[in-house]
Amino acid sequence: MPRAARRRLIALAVVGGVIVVVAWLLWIGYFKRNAIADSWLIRQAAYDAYTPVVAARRRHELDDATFWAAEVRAHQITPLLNLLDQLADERTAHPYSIFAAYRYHHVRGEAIATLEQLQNFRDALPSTRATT
Amino acid sequence: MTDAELLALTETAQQRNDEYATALKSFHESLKSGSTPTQAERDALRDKWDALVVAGDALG
Repeated sequence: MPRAARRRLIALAVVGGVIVVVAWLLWIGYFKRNAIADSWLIRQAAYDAYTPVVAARRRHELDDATFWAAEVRAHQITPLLNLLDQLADERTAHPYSIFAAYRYHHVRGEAIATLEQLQNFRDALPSTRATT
Repeated sequence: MTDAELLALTETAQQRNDEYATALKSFHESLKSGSTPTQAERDALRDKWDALVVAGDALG
């Protein structure tokens, strides 16, 4: 192999290695958070969204269709919250594992999407609309 | 559903709600103090959330 080509190959390998290391550090830095506290915050947000729905049902302010649609979201988020809790443990035990970070982030995204749907029901409640 | 049954379910839902709120507060306090909540606290929080959703279900 010509010397120039070898140099280019070595330079390419060094630059590639640096990019991989920087990407890994950014990834770790981005996800470096207290996963247990983070999953707790999502659980609390679910509670803050769901409780007004239950209270509105108690006051007969919600029709069946709306209530059950909100209940479905509550049932959907329950296993996600529980899984997130387990993954937060894994994330805490292996803070530099890209796989643990990915799994946590993936389930977190699903939980937040479901949470937003639950919050939409809360925000549409007559009592919530009246106070906002 | 009779009024008495509805009242009983309402009271149960309120009770589950209060129990969850208490567990959540204790969890929050642990985190604020910098310690990691114990597995028992976390299991309790999970169970209480499940019970709250079941109580909400029953209201329907």
